[in-house]
Amino acid sequence: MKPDTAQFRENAAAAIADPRLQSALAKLPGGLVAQRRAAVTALPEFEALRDEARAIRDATLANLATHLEAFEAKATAMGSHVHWATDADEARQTISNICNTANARLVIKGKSMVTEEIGLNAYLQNSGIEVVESDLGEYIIQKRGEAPSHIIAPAIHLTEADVEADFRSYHTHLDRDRELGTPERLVAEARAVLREKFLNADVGITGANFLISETGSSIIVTNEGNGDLTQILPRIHIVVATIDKVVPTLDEAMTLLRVLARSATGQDMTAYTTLATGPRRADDLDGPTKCHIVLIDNGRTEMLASDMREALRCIRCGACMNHCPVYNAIGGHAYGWVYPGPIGAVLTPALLGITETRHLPNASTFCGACESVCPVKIPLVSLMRTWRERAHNQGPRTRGARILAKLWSAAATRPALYHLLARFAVAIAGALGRAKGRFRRLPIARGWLKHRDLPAPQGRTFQQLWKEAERGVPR
Amino acid sequence: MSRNAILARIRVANPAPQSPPHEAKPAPASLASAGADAVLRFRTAAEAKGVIVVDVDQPANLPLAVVRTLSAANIPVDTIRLNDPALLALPLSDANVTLTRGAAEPHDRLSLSRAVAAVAETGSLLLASGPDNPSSLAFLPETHLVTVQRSTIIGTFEEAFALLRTRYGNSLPRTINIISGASRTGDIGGRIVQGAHGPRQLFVFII
Ligand code: SF4
Repeated sequence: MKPDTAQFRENAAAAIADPRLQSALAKLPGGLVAQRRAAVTALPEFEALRDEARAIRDATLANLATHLEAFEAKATAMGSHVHWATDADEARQTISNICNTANARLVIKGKSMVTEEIGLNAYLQNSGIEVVESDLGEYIIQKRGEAPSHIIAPAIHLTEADVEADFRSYHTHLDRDRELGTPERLVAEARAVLREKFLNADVGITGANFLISETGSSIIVTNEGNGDLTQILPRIHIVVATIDKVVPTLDEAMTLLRVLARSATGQDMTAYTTLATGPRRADDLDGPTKCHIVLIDNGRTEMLASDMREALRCIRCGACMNHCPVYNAIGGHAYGWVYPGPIGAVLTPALLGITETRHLPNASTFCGACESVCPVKIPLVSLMRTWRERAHNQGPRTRGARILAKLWSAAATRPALYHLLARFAVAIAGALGRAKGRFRRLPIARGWLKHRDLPAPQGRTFQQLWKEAERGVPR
Repeated sequence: MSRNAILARIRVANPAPQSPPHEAKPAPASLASAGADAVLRFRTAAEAKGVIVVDVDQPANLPLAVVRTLSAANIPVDTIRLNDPALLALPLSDANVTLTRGAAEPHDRLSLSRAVAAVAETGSLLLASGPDNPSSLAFLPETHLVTVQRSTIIGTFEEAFALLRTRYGNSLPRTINIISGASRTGDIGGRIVQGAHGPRQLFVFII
């Protein structure tokens, strides 16, 4: 999908002004926040598990090459074909070659963020292969030609009525007068439509929540069971994963799974957690006859070598966006690419470059809610701050902004001058605002003042008041 | 070659000396349980996920328990798909049930699998694929029935993985399914609906 990150400000303003989107947003992440809190409260060791999860991710990243080699060796020994791709283009070609060699006409997919990142669907479709997303949320947005608006709930921006209207327009082979007005009916209809696709697909593509070196397995977690049908029914299974997904042992993966589900949906375990290891065995009655694993770098080694390294700990739970006031106000699409929310504001500049994405690190109040819930304790705020600094240092600025910034830094780095100017400004503002005690309108910050007034200063600066208080001057 | 280029870049980003290997910690104490305690905990956790849990005092009584439980849930019991020899040996056909062998077919309504173990921590079932228990049984039919031996209900996933290592050495079957409730989705309007792509209902028979 083509990034639209440069338009962040316009997109965010449009999102806030969109009543339909706002009504969908109003209902949702709040539930996930409450469910997470309940799950965390129910597990006394949760905080200790977060530290442990962080330690596991750090230790794995510190020896990443060794763990990847171990994974490759074990997965190969178990009968999988392991492929490596440095960037999106190589990954798409590798996957496309596997599909073409197998004469695939229909590909069914489980939910996978990395295939969104590399724009896999469009690429395969351009070469004449039908690609169908099977996660219900992904299916809905694929039909609409949209990107996911949340990493675990891709259609969170849509209401039930939106989905009903979509299904009526896509599923034209069904009775026009059918009843469809409940989530149950909509789910049943999608189940029937997608069941046909599952049964006829040649290739199933899944992502991986984790890759296990100990066993050469991929692990996926789903609630729908769509990922399982994807990797059981078609004759070829392709696992697509970035290189940071590797975990040395099953026991370590378990610690990550314990914090993942609780942080994401408040479940202690999603309905289906599945280890897939190689193709079907000689005496198996089902399962794919071939299993391919595509390991993708696409910017991860650069992150590993940079000060964005800690963002590679991410296990894609979505908690940071559920708890983000900015995400809750504007939804995921305003971020303009596949990863929204605080992790998107950190990851997207790392993957696409800061020039195109310079507004994204501003999509934060720096309230810190994201890092206080992140199960692997990524310092999202300071990483966003680093990007802000970098955007500032290389971003295009107007002459006016440059002069203002110079003047500001001249004042702010000279305390005596700063106090003098502040006293002067506060005294004037105090005198102007004395009558009402507040400003309803100012030549700047119009949007801000539309919904609130600015209290007028009392006429003396904080430093003055502090000194007076120290001297015991009554106010 | 991309493989070597990627590994080389990682090694540059991770200069020696590298940190000592991480030692996995045991499961959190509050999640551990054993024996009768584990059985109770498994049942409570599974029921909280909408799973129907039924006690069966001996294998020979499984057919009756299946028929009774499904009738009570208004699920017609006509044909059951299964392939596990131990379960096929039970007098299910005496209970007026037709048994079909093999992996699941698209129009199967009922299937029966045998779990390797169950994990009390989250009320989850551990199923291993193979000729006796093809994994399609757990996903294609609308209703999935699973038997688990009472003695194989264990406390935590660490114990479950230890059991897998003992049983399969270092070569796992194609699929290990950890199943914690029936298939569900919250993707339409945020409300949870059961039976997204897999079974609408899950029944566990503890033998
Ligand atoms: S950054 Fe942390 S909270 Fe956000 S998705 Fe990743 S792991 Fe979850």
